[in-house]
Amino acid sequence: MKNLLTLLLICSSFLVHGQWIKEKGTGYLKLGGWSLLANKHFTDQGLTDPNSTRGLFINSIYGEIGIGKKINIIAYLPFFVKNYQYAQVPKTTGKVYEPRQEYNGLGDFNLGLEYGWGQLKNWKLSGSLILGIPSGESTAGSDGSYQTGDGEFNQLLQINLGKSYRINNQSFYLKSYLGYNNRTQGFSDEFHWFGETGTQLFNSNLLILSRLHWIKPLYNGTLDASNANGAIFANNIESFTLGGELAWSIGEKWGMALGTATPLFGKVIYKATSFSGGVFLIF
Amino acid sequence: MQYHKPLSLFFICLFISCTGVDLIDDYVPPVLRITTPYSEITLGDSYSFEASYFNNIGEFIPNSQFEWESSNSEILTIDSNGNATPLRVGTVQIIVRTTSSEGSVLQDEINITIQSNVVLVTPEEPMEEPSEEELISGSNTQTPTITITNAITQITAETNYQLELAFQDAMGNPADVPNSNWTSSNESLLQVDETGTLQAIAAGTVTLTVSVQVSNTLISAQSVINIIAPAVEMVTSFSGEVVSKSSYTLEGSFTLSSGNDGLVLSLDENYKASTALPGLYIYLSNNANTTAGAYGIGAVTVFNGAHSYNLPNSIELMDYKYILYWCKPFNVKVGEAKIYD
Repeated sequence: MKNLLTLLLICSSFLVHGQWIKEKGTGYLKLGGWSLLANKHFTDQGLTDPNSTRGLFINSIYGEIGIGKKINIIAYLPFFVKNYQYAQVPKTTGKVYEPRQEYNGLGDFNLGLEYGWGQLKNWKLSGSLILGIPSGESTAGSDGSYQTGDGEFNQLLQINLGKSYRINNQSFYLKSYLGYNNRTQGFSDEFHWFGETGTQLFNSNLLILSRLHWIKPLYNGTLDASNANGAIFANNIESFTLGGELAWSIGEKWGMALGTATPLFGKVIYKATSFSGGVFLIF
Repeated sequence: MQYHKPLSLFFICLFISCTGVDLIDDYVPPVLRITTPYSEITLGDSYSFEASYFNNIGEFIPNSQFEWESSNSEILTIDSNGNATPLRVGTVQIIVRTTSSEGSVLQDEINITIQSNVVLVTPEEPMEEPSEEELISGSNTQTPTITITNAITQITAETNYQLELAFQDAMGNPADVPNSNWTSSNESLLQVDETGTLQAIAAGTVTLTVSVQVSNTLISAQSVINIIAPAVEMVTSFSGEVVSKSSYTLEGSFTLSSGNDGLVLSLDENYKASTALPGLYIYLSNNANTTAGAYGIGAVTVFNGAHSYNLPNSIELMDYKYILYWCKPFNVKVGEAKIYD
């Protein structure tokens, strides 16, 4: 039920799309849209409860650009976030007693660096530091819950491992990371684990991939409903999300991508499948 | 970019999903409720009963028409406006009916115990001997006497009581009561008219005197009467349990009680609520399915232990049937408590 978690999940899916360390002057840019509509959520006990239908719609730019032999800049810029709730209409009278509400604004930007450490046996090894910039609104809308950001500055430190492998002459890749997200403003820190594997088909024109992403809070934050005036929409969130994506090339540099993700279990998170799409440029 | 059309269509589809409505199942059975929570009344006074009709969304409908009935009109009578007059000591059921907007007949009833408003003089507690003045002569005759046959030692304030007299003439025979004169030692506490009807006004002790003039003899009788405060019993509080209707922790006992400055809703020491919920609010409502039309007490700021909410004077004890705990931002019921059945 926490909007910011969904934002975080979006970020995670964008943040890991790049392949290895880019050469200097090369990169990957993606203009994307992402949508989630949920009428139930995982509670703090991990059970499922209903909620009024809430949605998030996000337009963003994601980019990875090589600025040195071993260094990439990473940026996720959600330049338009729409947080909305359906109108509430009683069946008996049919009269709207709570009209549709929404709030549009910037989301929380993520800016980071990835440094390639080289090979560890068959594995490519790199490290990332991604900063979560509180550029969104942490309290927005009529009751403060239509937020587009969590209002805190966080630092996600990752160790990334990737390798290629083959099955029946078909090449696959595998990439993963372990991360520690240091959150501020009373939010609990988080442990992240991510794994992704994929392969290219049809003369490398179609990329098909799947992902797993686990976020586990350390419950060391102090923020809760008793001390946060209700602004607790992204604390102690937990999720284990399965996602997939199809990306196909359109010409040499351009491509399109369609993706989806769904939480298999979680706490304090919407229980709904998200859908995404976008256009990417490889240069 | 020959794929721009399907891509545009995809984005449009994503965007269109941003509109829609949630249909809230807000139906509740319409109810009729007697809102004057008398449980015990006394003879000698009249009482006004009131009822409220709540429609199929729990909304109070003013100026509804009611039909009142007493289960035993020898014990209590009640008119079409709910004005009841107790006639005898006993227990009686007061019934009210109305027709809902859906055409069904709704009914509510309460049991009322009627207590006597007086304590009669018992044989072991004889009435004070009358004083008498004799101004006539004649040795073969008795002194005429006057007696209050249903004398009392106690009466409830704000009630009435009819005293009866008996008279014996000089020959010792029962006779018609001559014109009598009733007086109260304190008319601000107890008033009496020329027929012996008492009207108790306020608590205290009063000496009541009745006298008659027979020839040249003034005969009188006295009675000391204690007037006590009205003894109407009303329900002044309800207690129950708050229970979770979600997967979030919410539990504890509550009491809704009448105080000097209005109602007070108290949560007991065993109260506990999840701190994981954003925007937990507490309401009073007649519809457990929605906060539409509910009275919002406010945001929950205490999540553990005893605490209380002072409610405004405009809210009566039986105005609302439910306490609701609601996650306001996501319009979800977290828990509820039934104030009364």
